[in-house]
Amino acid sequence: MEDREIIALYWARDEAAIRESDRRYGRTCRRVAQSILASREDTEECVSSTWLRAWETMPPQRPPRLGVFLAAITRHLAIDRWRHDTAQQRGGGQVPLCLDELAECVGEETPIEDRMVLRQTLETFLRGLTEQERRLFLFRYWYLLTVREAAGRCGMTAGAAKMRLLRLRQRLREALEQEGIEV
Amino acid sequence: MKNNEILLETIGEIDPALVPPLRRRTHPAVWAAAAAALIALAVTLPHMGKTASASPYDRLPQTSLATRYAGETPLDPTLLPGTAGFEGMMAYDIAELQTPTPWDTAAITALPVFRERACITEGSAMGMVLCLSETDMIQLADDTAAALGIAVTKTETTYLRDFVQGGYTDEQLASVYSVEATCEDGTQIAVYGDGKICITFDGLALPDKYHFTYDTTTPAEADAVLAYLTDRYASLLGYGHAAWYSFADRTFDGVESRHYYAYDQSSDPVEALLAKELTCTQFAPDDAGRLLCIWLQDPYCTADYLGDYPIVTAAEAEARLLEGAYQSSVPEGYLKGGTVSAEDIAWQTLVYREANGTLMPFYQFYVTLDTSAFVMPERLQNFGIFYVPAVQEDLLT
Repeated sequence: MEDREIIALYWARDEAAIRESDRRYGRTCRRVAQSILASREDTEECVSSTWLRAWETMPPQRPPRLGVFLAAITRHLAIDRWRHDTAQQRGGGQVPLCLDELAECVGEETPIEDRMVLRQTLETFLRGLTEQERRLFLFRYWYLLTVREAAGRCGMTAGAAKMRLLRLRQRLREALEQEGIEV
Repeated sequence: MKNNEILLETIGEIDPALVPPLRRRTHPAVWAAAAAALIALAVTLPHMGKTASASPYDRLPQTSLATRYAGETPLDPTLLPGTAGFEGMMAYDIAELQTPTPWDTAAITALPVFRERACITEGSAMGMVLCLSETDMIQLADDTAAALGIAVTKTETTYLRDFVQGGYTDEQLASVYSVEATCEDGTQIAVYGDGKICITFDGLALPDKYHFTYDTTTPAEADAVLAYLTDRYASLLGYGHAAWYSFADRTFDGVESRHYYAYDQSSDPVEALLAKELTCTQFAPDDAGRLLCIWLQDPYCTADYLGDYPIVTAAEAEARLLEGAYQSSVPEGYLKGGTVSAEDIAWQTLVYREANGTLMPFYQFYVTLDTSAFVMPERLQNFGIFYVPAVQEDLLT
Protein backbone atom coordinates (compact mmCIF):
# COMPACT_ATOMS: atom_id res chain seq x y z
CA MET A 1 0.00 0.00 0.00
CA GLU A 2 1.35 3.43 -0.92
CA ASP A 3 1.90 6.28 1.56
CA ARG A 4 -1.01 8.32 0.29
CA GLU A 5 -3.34 5.35 0.73
CA ILE A 6 -2.17 4.79 4.30
CA ILE A 7 -2.63 8.48 5.09
CA ALA A 8 -6.12 8.28 3.59
CA LEU A 9 -6.88 5.45 6.03
CA TYR A 10 -5.79 7.64 8.95
CA TRP A 11 -8.00 10.45 7.69
CA ALA A 12 -10.90 8.04 7.30
CA ARG A 13 -10.30 6.90 10.91
CA ASP A 14 -9.82 3.37 9.62
CA GLU A 15 -7.77 1.25 12.04
CA ALA A 16 -6.25 -0.57 9.11
CA ALA A 17 -3.97 2.48 8.95
CA ILE A 18 -2.07 1.16 11.95
CA ARG A 19 -1.72 -2.33 10.49
CA GLU A 20 -0.48 -0.92 7.17
CA SER A 21 1.91 1.49 8.91
CA ASP A 22 3.40 -1.37 10.85
CA ARG A 23 3.67 -3.51 7.74
CA ARG A 24 5.40 -0.79 5.74
CA TYR A 25 7.40 1.12 8.33
CA GLY A 26 7.43 -1.09 11.41
CA ARG A 27 10.91 -2.36 10.69
CA THR A 28 12.32 1.16 10.33
CA CYS A 29 10.64 2.37 13.51
CA ARG A 30 11.80 -0.68 15.46
CA ARG A 31 15.35 -0.11 14.20
CA VAL A 32 15.27 3.51 15.41
CA ALA A 33 13.80 2.60 18.81
CA GLN A 34 16.20 -0.33 19.28
CA SER A 35 19.21 1.94 18.58
CA ILE A 36 18.09 4.30 21.31
CA LEU A 37 16.68 1.94 23.92
CA ALA A 38 18.63 -1.30 23.37
CA SER A 39 15.67 -3.23 24.72
CA ARG A 40 13.23 -5.33 22.71
CA GLU A 41 10.42 -4.84 25.21
CA ASP A 42 10.81 -1.07 25.34
CA THR A 43 11.16 -0.97 21.57
CA GLU A 44 7.81 -2.69 21.03
CA GLU A 45 6.15 -0.37 23.50
CA CYS A 46 7.65 2.64 21.79
CA VAL A 47 6.57 1.52 18.32
CA SER A 48 3.03 0.86 19.54
CA SER A 49 2.98 4.38 20.94
CA THR A 50 4.15 5.65 17.56
CA TRP A 51 1.02 4.35 15.85
CA LEU A 52 -1.16 5.95 18.52
CA ARG A 53 0.62 9.27 18.16
CA ALA A 54 0.25 9.05 14.38
CA TRP A 55 -3.46 8.34 14.86
CA GLU A 56 -3.75 11.50 17.00
CA THR A 57 -1.95 13.70 14.49
CA MET A 58 -3.56 12.54 11.22
CA PRO A 59 -5.78 14.42 10.59
CA PRO A 60 -5.01 17.30 10.52
CA GLN A 61 -1.48 16.44 9.32
CA ARG A 62 -0.77 14.99 5.89
CA PRO A 63 2.99 14.33 5.97
CA PRO A 64 4.81 14.44 2.62
CA ARG A 65 7.14 11.60 3.72
CA LEU A 66 5.24 9.19 5.90
CA GLY A 67 8.23 6.97 6.69
CA VAL A 68 10.35 9.83 8.03
CA PHE A 69 7.31 11.28 9.83
CA LEU A 70 6.67 8.01 11.67
CA ALA A 71 10.35 7.41 12.39
CA ALA A 72 10.61 10.94 13.80
CA ILE A 73 7.73 10.19 16.20
CA THR A 74 9.49 6.98 17.25
CA ARG A 75 12.77 8.82 17.75
CA HIS A 76 11.10 11.46 19.90
CA LEU A 77 9.24 8.91 22.02
CA ALA A 78 12.30 6.72 22.42
CA ILE A 79 14.53 9.60 23.53
CA ASP A 80 11.88 10.62 26.07
CA ARG A 81 11.81 7.05 27.29
CA TRP A 82 15.60 6.95 27.41
CA ARG A 83 15.62 10.13 29.56
CA HIS A 84 13.14 8.55 31.93
CA ASP A 85 15.15 5.34 32.09
CA THR A 86 18.38 7.25 32.65
CA ALA A 87 16.78 9.03 35.59
CA GLN A 88 15.84 5.59 36.86
CA GLN A 89 19.44 4.38 36.35
CA ARG A 90 18.37 2.13 33.48
CA GLY A 91 18.75 2.27 29.75
CA GLY A 92 21.58 2.09 27.27
CA GLY A 93 21.76 2.20 23.49
CA GLN A 94 23.42 4.80 21.32
CA VAL A 95 22.08 7.97 22.95
CA PRO A 96 24.85 8.50 25.52
CA LEU A 97 27.49 7.89 22.85
CA CYS A 98 25.87 10.32 20.43
CA LEU A 99 25.44 12.90 23.20
CA ASP A 100 29.13 12.65 24.04
CA GLU A 101 30.03 13.16 20.40
CA LEU A 102 27.64 16.09 19.95
CA ALA A 103 28.99 17.74 23.09
CA GLU A 104 32.02 18.59 20.94
CA CYS A 105 29.78 20.91 18.90
CA VAL A 106 28.12 22.85 21.70
CA GLY A 107 29.39 24.04 25.04
CA GLU A 108 27.46 24.28 28.27
CA GLU A 109 28.33 27.76 29.49
CA THR A 110 25.57 29.48 27.54
CA PRO A 111 22.29 27.57 27.28
CA ILE A 112 20.85 27.38 23.76
CA GLU A 113 17.64 29.35 23.83
CA ASP A 114 16.75 29.97 20.20
CA ARG A 115 15.95 26.54 18.82
CA MET A 116 14.64 28.05 15.59
CA VAL A 117 18.09 29.47 14.79
CA LEU A 118 19.65 26.17 15.79
CA ARG A 119 17.37 24.23 13.46
CA GLN A 120 17.95 26.64 10.58
CA THR A 121 21.71 26.48 11.10
CA LEU A 122 21.56 22.69 11.14
CA GLU A 123 19.55 22.59 7.92
CA THR A 124 21.92 25.02 6.17
CA PHE A 125 24.86 22.95 7.40
CA LEU A 126 23.32 19.71 6.13
CA ARG A 127 22.42 21.19 2.74
CA GLY A 128 26.06 22.19 2.31
CA LEU A 129 27.34 18.66 2.77
CA THR A 130 27.94 16.10 0.08
CA GLU A 131 25.22 13.48 -0.21
CA GLN A 132 27.41 10.85 1.40
CA GLU A 133 28.36 13.14 4.28
CA ARG A 134 24.73 14.08 4.90
CA ARG A 135 23.65 10.44 4.88
CA LEU A 136 26.45 9.47 7.25
CA PHE A 137 25.70 12.33 9.66
CA LEU A 138 21.98 11.58 9.75
CA PHE A 139 22.34 7.81 9.94
CA ARG A 140 24.42 8.46 13.05
CA TYR A 141 22.62 11.38 14.72
CA TRP A 142 19.07 11.16 13.36
CA TYR A 143 18.62 7.38 13.32
CA LEU A 144 21.29 6.89 16.02
CA LEU A 145 22.74 3.88 14.25
CA THR A 146 26.08 2.55 15.44
CA VAL A 147 29.05 4.01 13.60
CA ARG A 148 29.61 0.63 12.01
CA GLU A 149 26.13 0.30 10.62
CA ALA A 150 26.08 3.91 9.43
CA ALA A 151 29.42 3.29 7.73
CA GLY A 152 28.18 0.07 6.15
CA ARG A 153 25.13 1.84 4.75
CA CYS A 154 27.39 4.51 3.26
CA GLY A 155 29.89 2.07 1.78
CA MET A 156 32.67 3.22 4.08
CA THR A 157 34.87 1.55 6.61
CA ALA A 158 34.07 2.24 10.26
CA GLY A 159 37.43 3.92 10.67
CA ALA A 160 36.78 6.23 7.75
CA ALA A 161 33.30 6.98 9.07
CA LYS A 162 34.66 7.90 12.49
CA MET A 163 37.16 10.29 10.99
CA ARG A 164 34.54 11.77 8.66
CA LEU A 165 32.10 12.26 11.57
CA LEU A 166 34.84 13.93 13.59
CA ARG A 167 35.42 16.40 10.79
CA LEU A 168 31.69 16.94 10.32
CA ARG A 169 31.28 17.74 14.01
CA GLN A 170 34.14 20.23 13.74
CA ARG A 171 32.43 21.85 10.75
CA LEU A 172 29.11 21.95 12.59
CA ARG A 173 30.80 23.57 15.56
CA GLU A 174 32.21 26.25 13.25
CA ALA A 175 28.80 26.77 11.65
CA LEU A 176 27.18 27.17 15.05
CA GLU A 177 29.88 29.60 16.15
CA GLN A 178 29.26 31.72 13.07
CA GLU A 179 25.60 31.95 14.05
CA GLY A 180 26.54 33.11 17.52
CA ILE A 181 25.74 29.86 19.27
CA GLU A 182 28.40 29.67 21.95
CA VAL A 183 30.56 26.59 22.17
CA MET B 1 18.25 20.23 29.43
CA LYS B 2 21.91 20.26 28.38
CA ASN B 3 22.98 21.83 25.08
CA ASN B 4 24.01 18.51 23.54
CA GLU B 5 20.57 17.12 24.39
CA ILE B 6 18.95 20.15 22.76
CA LEU B 7 21.13 19.58 19.70
CA LEU B 8 20.22 15.89 19.50
CA GLU B 9 16.54 16.74 19.89
CA THR B 10 16.71 19.49 17.26
CA ILE B 11 18.40 17.18 14.76
CA GLY B 12 15.21 15.14 15.00
CA GLU B 13 13.15 18.18 14.00
CA ILE B 14 14.92 19.09 10.75
CA ASP B 15 13.18 19.24 7.40
CA PRO B 16 12.13 15.62 6.64
CA ALA B 17 13.26 16.11 3.05
CA LEU B 18 16.85 16.04 4.31
CA VAL B 19 16.50 12.72 6.11
CA PRO B 20 17.59 9.66 4.10
CA PRO B 21 15.12 6.80 4.33
CA LEU B 22 16.29 3.82 6.33
CA ARG B 23 13.88 1.59 4.56
CA ARG B 24 13.04 2.85 1.15
CA ARG B 25 9.62 4.00 0.11
CA THR B 26 8.53 2.35 -3.06
CA HIS B 27 6.43 3.02 -6.09
CA PRO B 28 5.24 0.61 -8.73
CA ALA B 29 7.83 0.10 -11.44
CA VAL B 30 7.05 0.35 -15.10
CA TRP B 31 8.40 -3.08 -15.81
CA ALA B 32 6.75 -3.74 -19.12
CA ALA B 33 8.16 -0.59 -20.72
CA ALA B 34 11.51 -1.08 -19.05
CA ALA B 35 11.78 -4.66 -20.22
CA ALA B 36 11.18 -3.64 -23.81
CA ALA B 37 13.81 -0.94 -23.52
CA LEU B 38 16.27 -3.31 -21.93
CA ILE B 39 16.07 -5.76 -24.77
CA ALA B 40 16.87 -2.96 -27.19
CA LEU B 41 19.72 -1.71 -25.00
CA ALA B 42 21.34 -4.99 -24.16
CA VAL B 43 24.88 -4.59 -25.43
CA THR B 44 27.69 -6.60 -23.95
CA LEU B 45 31.32 -5.74 -24.48
CA PRO B 46 33.98 -7.76 -22.72
CA HIS B 47 36.54 -6.00 -20.57
CA MET B 48 39.62 -7.03 -18.69
CA GLY B 49 39.22 -8.60 -15.34
CA LYS B 50 35.89 -10.19 -16.10
CA THR B 51 36.11 -13.80 -17.09
CA ALA B 52 32.59 -14.85 -16.12
CA SER B 53 29.38 -13.56 -17.64
CA ALA B 54 26.95 -13.61 -14.74
CA SER B 55 27.67 -10.20 -13.21
CA PRO B 56 24.70 -7.79 -13.21
CA TYR B 57 26.93 -5.31 -15.03
CA ASP B 58 27.47 -7.56 -18.02
CA ARG B 59 24.36 -6.41 -19.88
CA LEU B 60 25.38 -2.74 -19.76
CA PRO B 61 27.62 -1.19 -22.42
CA GLN B 62 31.10 -1.18 -20.95
CA THR B 63 34.42 0.42 -21.71
CA SER B 64 36.63 -2.09 -23.43
CA LEU B 65 40.35 -2.39 -22.91
CA ALA B 66 40.73 -4.79 -25.80
CA THR B 67 42.63 -2.16 -27.80
CA ARG B 68 45.30 -0.38 -25.79
CA TYR B 69 47.04 2.86 -26.71
CA ALA B 70 49.17 5.50 -25.04
CA GLY B 71 47.29 8.22 -23.22
CA GLU B 72 48.12 11.76 -24.32
CA THR B 73 45.54 14.00 -22.67
CA PRO B 74 47.15 15.84 -19.71
CA LEU B 75 45.58 14.81 -16.41
CA ASP B 76 44.55 16.91 -13.42
CA PRO B 77 45.50 14.81 -10.36
CA THR B 78 43.64 16.98 -7.82
CA LEU B 79 41.69 14.77 -5.44
CA LEU B 80 38.33 16.24 -4.55
CA PRO B 81 37.52 16.79 -0.88
CA GLY B 82 35.96 13.67 0.55
CA THR B 83 37.61 11.42 -2.01
CA ALA B 84 41.11 11.58 -0.60
CA GLY B 85 40.60 8.46 1.42
CA PHE B 86 40.96 8.17 5.14
CA GLU B 87 42.83 10.70 7.13
CA GLY B 88 44.13 8.06 9.39
CA MET B 89 43.90 4.40 10.28
CA MET B 90 44.88 2.94 13.59
CA ALA B 91 46.55 -0.37 14.27
CA TYR B 92 49.06 -1.91 16.65
CA ASP B 93 51.12 -2.99 13.67
CA ILE B 94 51.05 -1.92 10.03
CA ALA B 95 50.60 -5.59 9.09
CA GLU B 96 47.03 -5.35 10.42
CA LEU B 97 46.24 -2.81 7.69
CA GLN B 98 48.14 -4.28 4.80
CA THR B 99 46.09 -5.77 1.98
CA PRO B 100 47.37 -8.20 -0.64
CA THR B 101 49.12 -6.75 -3.65
CA PRO B 102 48.85 -9.59 -6.16
CA TRP B 103 51.03 -7.78 -8.66
CA ASP B 104 54.68 -6.97 -9.00
CA THR B 105 54.79 -3.17 -8.92
CA ALA B 106 58.18 -3.19 -10.61
CA ALA B 107 56.61 -5.01 -13.56
CA ILE B 108 54.07 -2.24 -14.15
CA THR B 109 55.32 0.59 -16.33
CA ALA B 110 52.00 2.01 -17.55
CA LEU B 111 48.42 1.93 -16.32
CA PRO B 112 45.01 2.67 -17.85
CA VAL B 113 43.31 5.93 -16.94
CA PHE B 114 39.57 6.56 -17.25
CA ARG B 115 37.44 9.67 -17.52
CA GLU B 116 34.05 9.61 -15.84
CA ARG B 117 31.37 10.54 -18.35
CA ALA B 118 29.36 12.68 -15.93
CA CYS B 119 31.09 13.84 -12.78
CA ILE B 120 29.84 16.90 -10.90
CA THR B 121 32.81 19.03 -9.86
CA GLU B 122 31.12 21.85 -7.92
CA GLY B 123 28.62 22.45 -5.14
CA SER B 124 27.37 20.07 -2.51
CA ALA B 125 27.16 17.26 -5.05
CA MET B 126 30.88 17.63 -5.83
CA GLY B 127 32.50 14.34 -6.74
CA MET B 128 29.20 12.66 -7.52
CA VAL B 129 29.15 10.62 -10.73
CA LEU B 130 25.64 10.60 -12.20
CA CYS B 131 26.06 8.77 -15.46
CA LEU B 132 23.65 5.88 -15.76
CA SER B 133 20.14 6.33 -17.10
CA GLU B 134 17.11 5.31 -15.10
CA THR B 135 16.57 2.46 -17.55
CA ASP B 136 20.11 1.19 -17.03
CA MET B 137 19.73 1.39 -13.27
CA ILE B 138 16.44 -0.47 -13.26
CA GLN B 139 18.10 -3.11 -15.40
CA LEU B 140 20.98 -3.39 -12.94
CA ALA B 141 18.57 -3.75 -10.04
CA ASP B 142 16.60 -6.39 -11.90
CA ASP B 143 19.71 -8.34 -12.91
CA THR B 144 21.10 -8.11 -9.38
CA ALA B 145 17.86 -9.52 -8.01
CA ALA B 146 17.89 -12.26 -10.64
CA ALA B 147 21.43 -13.22 -9.63
CA LEU B 148 20.16 -13.55 -6.07
CA GLY B 149 17.26 -15.70 -7.24
CA ILE B 150 14.61 -13.17 -6.27
CA ALA B 151 12.49 -10.65 -8.12
CA VAL B 152 12.06 -6.91 -7.80
CA THR B 153 8.51 -5.91 -6.97
CA LYS B 154 8.76 -2.13 -6.70
CA THR B 155 11.21 0.69 -7.34
CA GLU B 156 11.65 4.31 -6.47
CA THR B 157 13.81 6.77 -8.36
CA THR B 158 15.60 9.70 -6.75
CA TYR B 159 16.87 12.54 -8.93
CA LEU B 160 19.57 15.04 -8.08
CA ARG B 161 16.89 17.76 -7.94
CA ASP B 162 15.26 15.92 -5.04
CA PHE B 163 17.97 16.91 -2.58
CA VAL B 164 20.09 19.78 -3.92
CA GLN B 165 19.33 23.42 -4.41
CA GLY B 166 20.54 25.90 -7.07
CA GLY B 167 23.83 25.98 -8.92
CA TYR B 168 23.26 23.08 -11.29
CA THR B 169 22.18 22.80 -14.91
CA ASP B 170 18.75 21.43 -15.75
CA GLU B 171 20.44 18.36 -17.20
CA GLN B 172 22.33 17.73 -13.96
CA LEU B 173 19.20 18.25 -11.86
CA ALA B 174 17.37 15.70 -14.00
CA SER B 175 20.17 13.14 -13.49
CA VAL B 176 19.23 10.03 -11.59
CA TYR B 177 20.94 9.72 -8.23
CA SER B 178 19.57 6.31 -7.35
CA VAL B 179 17.02 3.65 -8.07
CA GLU B 180 15.87 1.85 -4.95
CA ALA B 181 14.36 -1.54 -5.57
CA THR B 182 12.41 -3.65 -3.13
CA CYS B 183 12.39 -7.39 -3.69
CA GLU B 184 9.71 -9.90 -2.83
CA ASP B 185 11.59 -11.07 0.28
CA GLY B 186 12.26 -7.56 1.59
CA THR B 187 15.81 -7.32 0.26
CA GLN B 188 16.63 -3.77 -0.84
CA ILE B 189 18.79 -3.09 -3.88
CA ALA B 190 20.04 0.46 -4.33
CA VAL B 191 21.66 1.29 -7.66
CA TYR B 192 23.50 4.60 -7.85
CA GLY B 193 24.30 6.82 -10.80
CA ASP B 194 27.96 5.83 -10.64
CA GLY B 195 27.04 2.17 -11.05
CA LYS B 196 27.58 1.18 -7.44
CA ILE B 197 25.07 -1.30 -6.10
CA CYS B 198 24.21 -1.79 -2.44
CA ILE B 199 22.21 -4.87 -1.54
CA THR B 200 20.80 -4.59 1.97
CA PHE B 201 19.41 -7.64 3.68
CA ASP B 202 17.26 -7.70 6.74
CA GLY B 203 20.10 -9.32 8.67
CA LEU B 204 20.89 -12.54 6.84
CA ALA B 205 22.16 -15.21 9.23
CA LEU B 206 25.22 -17.22 8.16
CA PRO B 207 25.68 -20.87 9.11
CA ASP B 208 26.69 -21.21 12.75
CA LYS B 209 30.26 -22.25 11.98
CA TYR B 210 31.08 -18.80 10.55
CA HIS B 211 32.06 -15.89 12.73
CA PHE B 212 31.34 -12.66 10.85
CA THR B 213 31.89 -9.57 12.97
CA TYR B 214 33.76 -6.31 13.00
CA ASP B 215 35.66 -6.72 16.21
CA THR B 216 36.05 -10.35 17.27
CA THR B 217 36.76 -12.19 14.02
CA THR B 218 40.29 -13.47 13.50
CA PRO B 219 41.99 -13.28 10.09
CA ALA B 220 41.52 -17.05 9.69
CA GLU B 221 37.82 -16.80 10.54
CA ALA B 222 37.48 -13.90 8.12
CA ASP B 223 39.12 -15.99 5.43
CA ALA B 224 36.56 -18.75 6.00
CA VAL B 225 33.65 -16.30 5.95
CA LEU B 226 34.87 -14.76 2.70
CA ALA B 227 35.35 -18.16 1.09
CA TYR B 228 31.76 -18.97 2.01
CA LEU B 229 30.32 -15.62 0.86
CA THR B 230 32.17 -15.52 -2.47
CA ASP B 231 30.97 -19.05 -3.17
CA ARG B 232 27.40 -18.37 -2.06
CA TYR B 233 27.22 -15.22 -4.19
CA ALA B 234 29.37 -16.45 -7.09
CA SER B 235 26.62 -15.85 -9.62
CA LEU B 236 26.21 -12.29 -8.38
CA LEU B 237 29.91 -11.46 -8.39
CA GLY B 238 30.59 -13.01 -11.76
CA TYR B 239 34.26 -13.53 -10.98
CA GLY B 240 36.21 -16.11 -12.93
CA HIS B 241 38.79 -16.73 -10.19
CA ALA B 242 37.56 -15.15 -6.99
CA ALA B 243 40.09 -14.02 -4.41
CA TRP B 244 39.42 -12.30 -1.10
CA TYR B 245 41.01 -10.51 1.80
CA SER B 246 40.20 -8.73 5.01
CA PHE B 247 42.00 -6.18 7.10
CA ALA B 248 41.26 -4.56 10.42
CA ASP B 249 41.87 -1.04 11.59
CA ARG B 250 41.09 -0.04 15.15
CA THR B 251 39.12 2.59 17.00
CA PHE B 252 40.63 5.02 19.51
CA ASP B 253 39.80 2.40 22.14
CA GLY B 254 41.91 -0.18 20.32
CA VAL B 255 38.88 -2.22 19.27
CA GLU B 256 39.19 -3.92 15.88
CA SER B 257 37.03 -3.02 12.92
CA ARG B 258 37.42 -5.66 10.25
CA HIS B 259 36.57 -5.10 6.57
CA TYR B 260 35.80 -7.83 4.06
CA TYR B 261 36.53 -7.71 0.30
CA ALA B 262 36.54 -10.00 -2.74
CA TYR B 263 37.86 -9.44 -6.25
CA ASP B 264 38.65 -11.29 -9.46
CA GLN B 265 42.12 -12.76 -9.41
CA SER B 266 44.46 -12.50 -12.40
CA SER B 267 48.03 -13.47 -13.13
CA ASP B 268 48.49 -10.31 -15.18
CA PRO B 269 49.76 -7.55 -12.83
CA VAL B 270 47.72 -4.75 -14.43
CA GLU B 271 44.55 -6.83 -14.54
CA ALA B 272 45.09 -7.83 -10.92
CA LEU B 273 45.45 -4.21 -9.82
CA LEU B 274 42.37 -3.11 -11.81
CA ALA B 275 40.31 -5.96 -10.42
CA LYS B 276 41.23 -5.29 -6.81
CA GLU B 277 40.78 -1.55 -7.08
CA LEU B 278 37.91 -1.06 -9.50
CA THR B 279 35.63 -4.10 -9.53
CA CYS B 280 35.94 -5.40 -5.99
CA THR B 281 33.03 -6.36 -3.75
CA GLN B 282 32.61 -5.46 -0.10
CA PHE B 283 30.65 -7.50 2.43
CA ALA B 284 29.49 -5.84 5.65
CA PRO B 285 28.14 -7.55 8.76
CA ASP B 286 25.62 -6.07 11.15
CA ASP B 287 26.23 -5.87 14.86
CA ALA B 288 24.67 -9.30 15.33
CA GLY B 289 27.13 -11.01 12.99
CA ARG B 290 24.66 -11.39 10.13
CA LEU B 291 25.14 -10.20 6.56
CA LEU B 292 23.96 -6.58 6.41
CA CYS B 293 24.92 -5.56 2.90
CA ILE B 294 26.98 -6.25 -0.19
CA TRP B 295 28.51 -3.41 -2.21
CA LEU B 296 29.32 -3.98 -5.88
CA GLN B 297 31.05 -1.57 -8.23
CA ASP B 298 32.12 -1.45 -11.85
CA PRO B 299 33.31 1.91 -13.21
CA TYR B 300 33.71 0.38 -16.68
CA CYS B 301 30.00 1.20 -17.08
CA THR B 302 30.41 4.90 -16.37
CA ALA B 303 33.93 5.84 -17.49
CA ASP B 304 35.74 6.03 -20.84
CA TYR B 305 39.23 4.70 -21.39
CA LEU B 306 41.71 7.56 -21.97
CA GLY B 307 44.72 5.40 -22.65
CA ASP B 308 47.64 3.83 -20.82
CA TYR B 309 49.85 6.33 -19.02
CA PRO B 310 53.48 5.72 -18.05
CA ILE B 311 53.93 5.65 -14.29
CA VAL B 312 56.79 6.56 -11.99
CA THR B 313 58.48 3.92 -9.88
CA ALA B 314 57.69 3.40 -6.22
CA ALA B 315 61.06 4.92 -5.32
CA GLU B 316 60.37 8.01 -7.43
CA ALA B 317 56.96 8.39 -5.79
CA GLU B 318 58.54 8.15 -2.37
CA ALA B 319 61.03 10.85 -3.30
CA ARG B 320 58.14 13.13 -4.30
CA LEU B 321 56.37 12.37 -1.04
CA LEU B 322 59.46 13.38 0.93
CA GLU B 323 59.69 16.59 -1.13
CA GLY B 324 56.17 17.43 0.04
CA ALA B 325 54.57 16.85 -3.38
CA TYR B 326 51.64 14.88 -1.98
CA GLN B 327 47.93 15.19 -1.32
CA SER B 328 46.50 14.35 2.07
CA SER B 329 43.86 15.47 4.51
CA VAL B 330 46.19 14.79 7.46
CA PRO B 331 46.93 18.01 9.34
CA GLU B 332 50.64 18.81 9.33
CA GLY B 333 50.52 19.10 13.11
CA TYR B 334 50.04 15.33 13.31
CA LEU B 335 53.32 14.68 11.47
CA LYS B 336 56.39 13.99 13.53
CA GLY B 337 58.47 17.15 13.20
CA GLY B 338 55.87 18.66 10.88
CA THR B 339 57.06 16.82 7.76
CA VAL B 340 57.03 13.31 6.31
CA SER B 341 60.30 11.52 6.85
CA ALA B 342 61.50 8.26 5.28
CA GLU B 343 61.58 6.38 8.59
CA ASP B 344 57.90 7.18 9.20
CA ILE B 345 56.74 5.57 5.94
CA ALA B 346 55.25 2.30 7.12
CA TRP B 347 53.87 0.98 3.83
CA GLN B 348 53.05 1.98 0.28
CA THR B 349 50.84 0.51 -2.39
CA LEU B 350 49.23 1.35 -5.72
CA VAL B 351 45.56 2.36 -5.73
CA TYR B 352 43.05 4.02 -8.05
CA ARG B 353 41.37 7.25 -6.95
CA GLU B 354 39.05 9.68 -8.65
CA ALA B 355 40.72 13.01 -9.28
CA ASN B 356 38.42 15.69 -10.61
CA GLY B 357 36.43 13.22 -12.70
CA THR B 358 39.44 11.14 -13.74
CA LEU B 359 39.99 7.65 -12.40
CA MET B 360 43.75 7.35 -12.18
CA PRO B 361 46.48 5.53 -10.25
CA PHE B 362 48.16 6.92 -7.15
CA TYR B 363 50.80 5.65 -4.82
CA GLN B 364 49.23 5.48 -1.39
CA PHE B 365 51.55 5.88 1.59
CA TYR B 366 50.85 4.96 5.19
CA VAL B 367 52.84 7.34 7.37
CA THR B 368 53.25 6.86 11.12
CA LEU B 369 51.83 9.92 12.89
CA ASP B 370 52.68 11.56 16.17
CA THR B 371 50.21 10.00 18.61
CA SER B 372 50.98 12.29 21.54
CA ALA B 373 47.95 14.43 20.66
CA PHE B 374 45.58 11.45 20.85
CA VAL B 375 44.19 9.65 23.85
CA MET B 376 44.66 6.03 22.85
CA PRO B 377 46.04 2.79 24.26
CA GLU B 378 49.78 2.39 24.57
CA ARG B 379 51.46 0.95 21.43
CA LEU B 380 48.43 1.75 19.25
CA GLN B 381 49.69 3.64 16.22
CA ASN B 382 47.95 6.12 13.95
CA PHE B 383 48.86 5.98 10.27
CA GLY B 384 48.11 8.96 8.04
CA ILE B 385 47.27 8.37 4.37
CA PHE B 386 49.18 10.32 1.72
CA TYR B 387 48.81 10.21 -2.07
CA VAL B 388 51.31 10.84 -4.84
CA PRO B 389 50.12 10.62 -8.49
CA ALA B 390 51.54 7.53 -10.17
CA VAL B 391 51.34 9.02 -13.67
CA GLN B 392 54.56 10.65 -14.84
CA GLU B 393 54.72 14.34 -14.06
CA ASP B 394 55.01 15.54 -17.68
CA LEU B 395 51.51 14.19 -18.33
CA LEU B 396 49.94 16.02 -15.38
CA THR B 397 48.51 19.52 -15.48
